[in-house]
Amino acid sequence: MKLPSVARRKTTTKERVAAALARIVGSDGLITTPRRLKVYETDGYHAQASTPLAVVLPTTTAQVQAVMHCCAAEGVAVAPRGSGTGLTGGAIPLHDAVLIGTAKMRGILDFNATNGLVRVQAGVRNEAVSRHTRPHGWFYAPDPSSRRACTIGGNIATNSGGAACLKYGVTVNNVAGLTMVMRDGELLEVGGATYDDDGLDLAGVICGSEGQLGLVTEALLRLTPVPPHVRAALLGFARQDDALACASAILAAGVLPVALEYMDRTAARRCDDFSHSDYPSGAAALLIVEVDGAAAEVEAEATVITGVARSQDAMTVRVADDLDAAARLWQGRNAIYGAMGRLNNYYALDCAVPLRQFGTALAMITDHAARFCVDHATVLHAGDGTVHSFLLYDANNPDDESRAHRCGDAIRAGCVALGGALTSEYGVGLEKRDLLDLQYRPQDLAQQLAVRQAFAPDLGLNPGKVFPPAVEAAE
Amino acid sequence: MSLCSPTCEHEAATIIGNAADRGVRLRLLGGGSRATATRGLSARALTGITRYHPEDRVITARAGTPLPDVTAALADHGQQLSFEPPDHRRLLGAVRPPTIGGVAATNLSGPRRPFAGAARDSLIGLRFINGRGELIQTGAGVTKNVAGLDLTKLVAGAWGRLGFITEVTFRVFTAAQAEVTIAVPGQAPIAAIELFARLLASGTRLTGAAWLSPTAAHRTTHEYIGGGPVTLLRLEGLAAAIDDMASHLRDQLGGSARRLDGPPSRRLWQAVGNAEPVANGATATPVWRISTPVDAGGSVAADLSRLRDAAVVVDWRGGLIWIRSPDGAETDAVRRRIATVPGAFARPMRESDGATISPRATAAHRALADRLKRALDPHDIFEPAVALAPQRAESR
Repeated sequence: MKLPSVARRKTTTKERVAAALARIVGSDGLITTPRRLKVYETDGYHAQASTPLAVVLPTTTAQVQAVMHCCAAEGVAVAPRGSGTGLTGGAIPLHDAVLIGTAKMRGILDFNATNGLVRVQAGVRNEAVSRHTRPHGWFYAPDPSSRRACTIGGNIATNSGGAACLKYGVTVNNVAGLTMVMRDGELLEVGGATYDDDGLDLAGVICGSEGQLGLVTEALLRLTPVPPHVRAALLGFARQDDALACASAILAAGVLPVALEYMDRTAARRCDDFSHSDYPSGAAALLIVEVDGAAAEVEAEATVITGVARSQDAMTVRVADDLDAAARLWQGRNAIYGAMGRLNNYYALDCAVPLRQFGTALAMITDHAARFCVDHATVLHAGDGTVHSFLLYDANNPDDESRAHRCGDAIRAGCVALGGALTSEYGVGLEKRDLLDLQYRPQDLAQQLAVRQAFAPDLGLNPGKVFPPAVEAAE
Repeated sequence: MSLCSPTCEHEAATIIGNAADRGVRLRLLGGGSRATATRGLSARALTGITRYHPEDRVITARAGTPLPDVTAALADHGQQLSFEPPDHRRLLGAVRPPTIGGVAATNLSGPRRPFAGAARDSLIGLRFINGRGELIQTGAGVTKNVAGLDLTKLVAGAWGRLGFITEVTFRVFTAAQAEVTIAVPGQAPIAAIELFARLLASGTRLTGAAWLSPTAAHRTTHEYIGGGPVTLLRLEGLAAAIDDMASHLRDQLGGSARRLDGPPSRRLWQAVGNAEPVANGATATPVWRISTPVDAGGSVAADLSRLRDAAVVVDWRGGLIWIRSPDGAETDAVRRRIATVPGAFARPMRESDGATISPRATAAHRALADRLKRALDPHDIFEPAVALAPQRAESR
């Protein structure tokens, strides 16, 4: 379906839709004034903005159903929004959409310690889940770096992971069930408290669908037992290849770390400058390894890690024996967004490559950065293939910004060519929709679009994202 | 019966494209370990590991590759599929080994499922042929990929209704150096399941949590399991840590707990995963596989264990129950019991034993399933693999 543009939608339609929405969510839950709508024009992407027709802030699934029904009947597009922390423009309301925000859906509805499951509303913050369940011995494992602010609904939309996903998986591996409102307002309950499903794996396709299949209002989350002990190690290397070999050898030795993080020389130095983390100066690369489990387990794993590190010529081996000490080792790495942002604007990449291709990928990044004359720093999730490069540019210099983005696109294409993925964490959104055909052929994209249409026949949910515009327009 | 076994993706696409043109329906089969087909399309000739670099911690294989070939190749490099894919040959009276594509298509997982995820959680990429005869690629060859709509899990768990899988990519893990099982005799299933939850919440890293009824325990034929019911707890990890972990657990469980190390422990969990305690060849009474919320598993298992001489296995720390009784009385009992547990469902392991008992389906599910079927198989040429294929709906 071709959606009417802002200019062509008659004011009378807008007023009629707004009046209908007000009847559903009340005046408290509806935003239509231009000044207040401004907040909802963009998300963490910043490069683009678009004003929604209206913003609704429902409190219940029933209200969401009524809003969706109303919008479908009027042919109005709908876009979802959690906390707006996304980095790809996934929450920017295109096509004059009504934006449904989950800010008032913050209820933790039911926690079952025997099943290790908790049911929450979509607007609950990621970190709030573990805060609620941790005293009972369980926590919610996916840990995106925005976890203090981002919502479970947003995590589901982008299938978020974090540093700890090496051991505990990403969102799709930790969601047992979903309550979702379809395009026409109909309710769909997906999955449940059992370990497998008797029908199609709908949760498997909804996680990561960037709000284009339906609006998730509640999630049944699978929790993980709180590990009693944690150990972390900071390893410094004079040579990059030794650090990469060490990461591989740790995994091969039978240690499954919670996180296995690599920082290149520039990333390590800048994070240290910013947060004074006492990272070893002169190291070409750092690894931070964290393990958790029973006392005997973490003790044995720490012994293996330090042994492997020494055999790989580590110049620094520092072990943290508890959570606080571990947090200090992570302090610099966790400050990377601030450390980069202090220097300049940055374009953050989230590609992935097969683990054995890390060395090739790092060389490729250096080459492209030199070719485009872009200042850069790179960290890797060395256990799952994620490549986070930060490409710095001056936003007041259009040429500078353009070079950074062209450099980023070249790196993404290079990662896909190495057998990797275009995006491993942030999602496609608006930012990468024109690059999706790097990873998929036309028939693959057509099949994905056909499945999207099975959920939302008019493609009226979060339109203009993920798929290249030409692919979406072909329908 | 006509059975096509294409030897390459191109041939499979041609067969499916022709079938779509002529309106011929096809039943999709893996290696045929579950086959009772009349007209089938089998992946059994699509064999071979196509990409495996151990340091990538990912393996790609053609769909018809026998599962034992995949696990052996991984074991050569100290790696494994973490979800412990079961081998139900004994249960089904089948001759051919399961295939890696069949594992993906059925999303069947073994005892480690609650602690390391299901088959679908390790599955990161697929190639399949849709009902138009088009080869579709989904997912990626890396663990983390959020580009585009991920059709991998949707197609994988569909039991051959949405596409003919030609190649699968799984994430793999380093195999544990050591394992220990602690066997606790005499517990009722409700107590066992409460024990599992309590241990997990207090920081015990179990990787197996099962309970066997007296008949099931007896049928495992391992001399160390004694006469009554038995609760089984597994720990895995580095050799240097396993003794301490096992002693700590045994201390919490009291004097009657017994310890099994290494190969006996491995054989025991293989038997649990393969549902051997309820297997009885191909011709015996039905075997039911019940999925239930963990907190209901104990009472369901306790009730079903009261059937005369019933063999009951509780796995997945209470979330999975296997049952077979010698006089075939279990089908009605399962039906009645399932109806009282919200969210639970039950599958017979053979087509001839009836359809899935599932109270969960709604009109919205059926309508969406129909639309998804049309999106992937518009001419409706793919038949479900067997009655085991989940049939939401009218089966009650």
